[in-house]
Amino acid sequence: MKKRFLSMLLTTAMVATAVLSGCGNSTQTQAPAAPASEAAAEPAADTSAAEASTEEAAAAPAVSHDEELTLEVYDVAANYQGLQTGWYGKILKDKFNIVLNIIAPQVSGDGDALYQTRSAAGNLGDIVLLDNADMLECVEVGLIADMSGEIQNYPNLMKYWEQIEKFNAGIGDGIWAIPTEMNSNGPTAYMAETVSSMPRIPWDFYSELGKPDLNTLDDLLQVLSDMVAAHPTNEAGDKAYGMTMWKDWDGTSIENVNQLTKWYGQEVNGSVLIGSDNTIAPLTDKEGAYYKMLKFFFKANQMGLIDPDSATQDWNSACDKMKTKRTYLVWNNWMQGFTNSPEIGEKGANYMGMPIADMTVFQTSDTYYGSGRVFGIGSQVDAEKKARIMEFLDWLASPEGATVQHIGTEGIIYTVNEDGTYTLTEDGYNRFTSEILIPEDQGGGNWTDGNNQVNQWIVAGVEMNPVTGETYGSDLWASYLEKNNTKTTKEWREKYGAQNEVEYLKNNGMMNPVPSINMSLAIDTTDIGLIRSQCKTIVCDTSWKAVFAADEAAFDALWDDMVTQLEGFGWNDLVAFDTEKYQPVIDARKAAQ
Amino acid sequence: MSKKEAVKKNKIKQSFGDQMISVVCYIIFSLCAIVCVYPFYYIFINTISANDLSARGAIMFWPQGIHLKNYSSALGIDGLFQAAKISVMRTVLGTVGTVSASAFLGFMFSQNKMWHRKLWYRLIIATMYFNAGIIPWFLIMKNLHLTNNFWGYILPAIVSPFHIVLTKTFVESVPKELQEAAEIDGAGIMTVFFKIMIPVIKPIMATVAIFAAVNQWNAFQDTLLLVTDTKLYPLQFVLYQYLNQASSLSALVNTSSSSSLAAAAATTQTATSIRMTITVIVVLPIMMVYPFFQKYFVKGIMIGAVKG
Repeated sequence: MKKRFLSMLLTTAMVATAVLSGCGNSTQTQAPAAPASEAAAEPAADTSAAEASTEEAAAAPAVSHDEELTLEVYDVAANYQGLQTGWYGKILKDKFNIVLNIIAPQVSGDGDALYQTRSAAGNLGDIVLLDNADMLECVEVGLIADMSGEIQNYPNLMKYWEQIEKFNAGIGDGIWAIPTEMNSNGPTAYMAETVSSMPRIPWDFYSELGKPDLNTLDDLLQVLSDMVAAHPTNEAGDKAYGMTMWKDWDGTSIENVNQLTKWYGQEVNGSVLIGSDNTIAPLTDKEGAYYKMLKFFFKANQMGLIDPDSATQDWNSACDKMKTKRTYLVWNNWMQGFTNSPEIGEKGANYMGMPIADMTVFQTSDTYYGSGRVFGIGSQVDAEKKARIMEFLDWLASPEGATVQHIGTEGIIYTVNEDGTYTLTEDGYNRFTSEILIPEDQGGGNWTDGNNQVNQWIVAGVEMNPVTGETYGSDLWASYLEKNNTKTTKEWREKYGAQNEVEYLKNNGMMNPVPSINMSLAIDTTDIGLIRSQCKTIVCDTSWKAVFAADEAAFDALWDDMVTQLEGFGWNDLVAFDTEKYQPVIDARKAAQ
Repeated sequence: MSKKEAVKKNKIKQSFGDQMISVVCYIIFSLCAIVCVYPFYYIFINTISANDLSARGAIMFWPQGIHLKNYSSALGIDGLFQAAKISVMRTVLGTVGTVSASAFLGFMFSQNKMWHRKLWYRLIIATMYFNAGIIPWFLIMKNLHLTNNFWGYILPAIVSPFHIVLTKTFVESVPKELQEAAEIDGAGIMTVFFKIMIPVIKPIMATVAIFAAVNQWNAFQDTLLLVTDTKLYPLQFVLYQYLNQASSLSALVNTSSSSSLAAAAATTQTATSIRMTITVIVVLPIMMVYPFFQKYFVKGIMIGAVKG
C-alpha cells in the first residue's frame, strides 16, 4: 500500500512538473543583463574608451582595406538572412573590402531567442540596427560602442549632428546611436506629392461615371459599386472587386482598417488612436476612426464590393490583384507602384488619389529626426574594425552612398543629364515590378536580389542630393515627374485645380503635416505584453467578423460584445499604458508645431 | 478444397451488422487518410501547375498547366546545394553517432556490474525533465567552441536519454542466458556487445536510427542560435527563412513609420510558388525513407514498451 501511494505521489509530481514546465516562459522579458554579458562587456568598453581618447580630431583615420572583413549586421529591419551578394555586395567589396553577413531576427524564426542568446554572450553583432527602445536597453548593458571620440572625424555623419545629438541625449552620456532616415529639410516639411493613405481609384472608370463629386464615404461606395457594375471583370476576364483585403499584416487590430483611419485624422498606435489634433482616444471609441472605417468595410460588404477571399488570402495574392486591375480601391501611395505606369497613365487609367470632402488626412512629416530605428556599433569590436565600420557608415551617409542605396548604379538604373540631374532608365522604372538582370561584371543576378538587404538607410530618400540639387529618391526628380505627367495627371489637375493631392489637401485645410518625432518609447512590461497579445486576438477576430456581418444589428452586437470581452482581459490597463507611452510624443509634437 | 470451404464459411458467418461496421470503419479511416494526405498533395500539385493559377487558388484537385520551372528555379537558388549537403551530412553522421551511443549506453546500463549504474542512469534521465533554458545552453556551446562549427550539430545530439531508455529496455528483454552462455565460452564484455548484442538488437537500433535521422533532418533551432556562417546552414533553415518572410514582412509593416520601407519590402518577398517548391524538396527525402524503416519502427516501439 505504502509503495503504491508513494509511486502515485511521485507520478503526480512528475506530471505536475511536466505540465508546469510547459507553462514556463522561455523568453526572458527582462533586460538581457545576464551577469556573463556584463563581464564580457566591461573589458570591451574600457578598450574602446581608451582608444577614443587617442584619436586625432581633424580627418577620418585612414584604414587599410587589405584584409577582407566580414561584418555581422544584426538587423531588425531586414527581410533576408545571409551574405549580401549581387551588385551591392560587389560595390562594398570593391570599395571597402567588406562583406556583410546579415542576421535577420524577423526572418530567422525565433527572433526573441536569437536576441536573448546573442546579447547574453556579449556579441549582438558588429553593426546593429535596432528599434529605439531596444537600443536603450543594449546601451545600458554595455553591448554598444561609444562613438563620441570618433564621430567628429566623419563629415557626412556630422551633417546630421543636430539629430544625432538630440537622440543620444535621451540615452545618456556619449554617442551610441545614429538614427535612420534623417534629412535636412526641417522638422515639419513634407516633400512627397502623395500622402501615405488616401482613397485611390482608377481614373478611367471614374471618368466614365461622369467624375461625380465625393462628399462622404457613401459617395465613394456608390462610385465603387457603379464601377464594379460597369466592369465586373478585368480585361483578361478575371473577376474584379471593389476592394480586396489581406490578413497577414494584422497587429493589435486589422491593418487594412488601420491604414484607412488616416483618412479621418487619426492614426492607430497599438490600442489607442492618436489624432492630428494631438488627442489620444482608445481604439474602441465609437466616435473614433477605427469604428468608422470598420463600418465602411461592413457597408462595402453589404453592397457586395469586398473580395470574398479577403479573410484568408495573403499579401502576395492581394498584390497580384492590384497588378492585374482586379481591385478598384487601393489606399497607400506606394501601392500605385503596382497599379500605375506611364503607359497606363497615357491611357488615362492610372489610379489617382480622390479627396473626399469630409476627410481630414493624418500625415506625419518627413522623418527629420529619424524613423524609429537606429544604427549602432557592437562594443566588442576592436579599434581597427571600428574605424572601418565608421568609414562604412560615413559612406552610407555620403551622396555617393545614398544614391547607390536609394536608386542603384549609374548606367543601369539612371543616366546623368547635361545639367547634372538624373533620369531613370527603362530598367530603372521597372526595378520593383520586373526582373532586371545585372551584367556579370557588376555582380550578376537580378537587381532585387542584389539590392541592399539591410533595408534601412541613414539618410532618407527625400534628402537633397548636393550633387544634383534634387532628392536622392527618384519620386521627386524633375525627369520622373515629367514622365509621370500623363493624361491622367492632367485630367486630375483640371478637375481639382491643384498640382497634386498634397497641395489640394493643404489648400482646402484637409491636412496639416504632424511633426514626425523620433524618441524611445516605453517597452511593454510582461503583464502588458500578455494583455496586448490576448486583446489582439479578440480585436482582430471580431473586426474580421464585423466586416462580414449579416446586418447592422449584428455588426453593433459584435462591437459591443468585443468591448465587453476586452474589458474582461484588462483592456483599460492596456489603454492607460499606451496613453502614457504616447503622451511624450504628443507633447513633443505640440512643442514642434 | 478445405481452405475454400473455410473461406466460404467465414464469408457467410459475417453478419450484416458486422459488414456495416466494416464499411463505416473503412469510410472513417479513408477520410482520415485523405485529410492527412491532401495537404501534401495540394502543395505538390501547386508546385507543378501554372503559377498564376496557383496564386489565385484555382488549383484544388488536379494540376493544370503542368510545368517544372518552379523546381529548376528553386534548385538554382544560391546556396541550396550547399545547404542540402550540410543536411545530408548531419543526418548521416548524427544518426550514426546517436545509434552507436544509444546502443552502447543501453547495453552498459543493463549490466549489473556497471560502476554506479543506478547513479549514472538517474543522472541521464534527470536531463529529460530539467532544463536550464536557452541562455545557459548557448553559453556552454559558445565556451566549447561549438558555435559556427559543424560539430555543434552532431555532438549535443549524441547522448539522448529517450533513445537510451528505449535501447536499455529492449536489451533487458533479451534472454540473459545468451550473454551468460557467451561469457562461459570466454567472451569479454566487448565481444558480447559486438558479436552477440548488436545482431540481436537490430530492431531497436533501426527505430533509434529513424528517430535520430528525422530529428537531424528537421532541426533548425540549433542553426538559428549557434550559426551565422551561411556555409553551414542546413536545408530546413533555408526553407524556414523563406517561409518566414511573409510574417516578418507583416511585422515590419506594422512597426515601420516609413512607407518606402514597406514598399521595398513588399516586393522582396519570395513568391509563394517558390516557397511551396522548397517545402516539397525538403519533405521528399524523409517521405521516401520512412516506408522502408516503418516495419522496424512499429515493432521496435512496441517491444520497448511492453517488456519492462
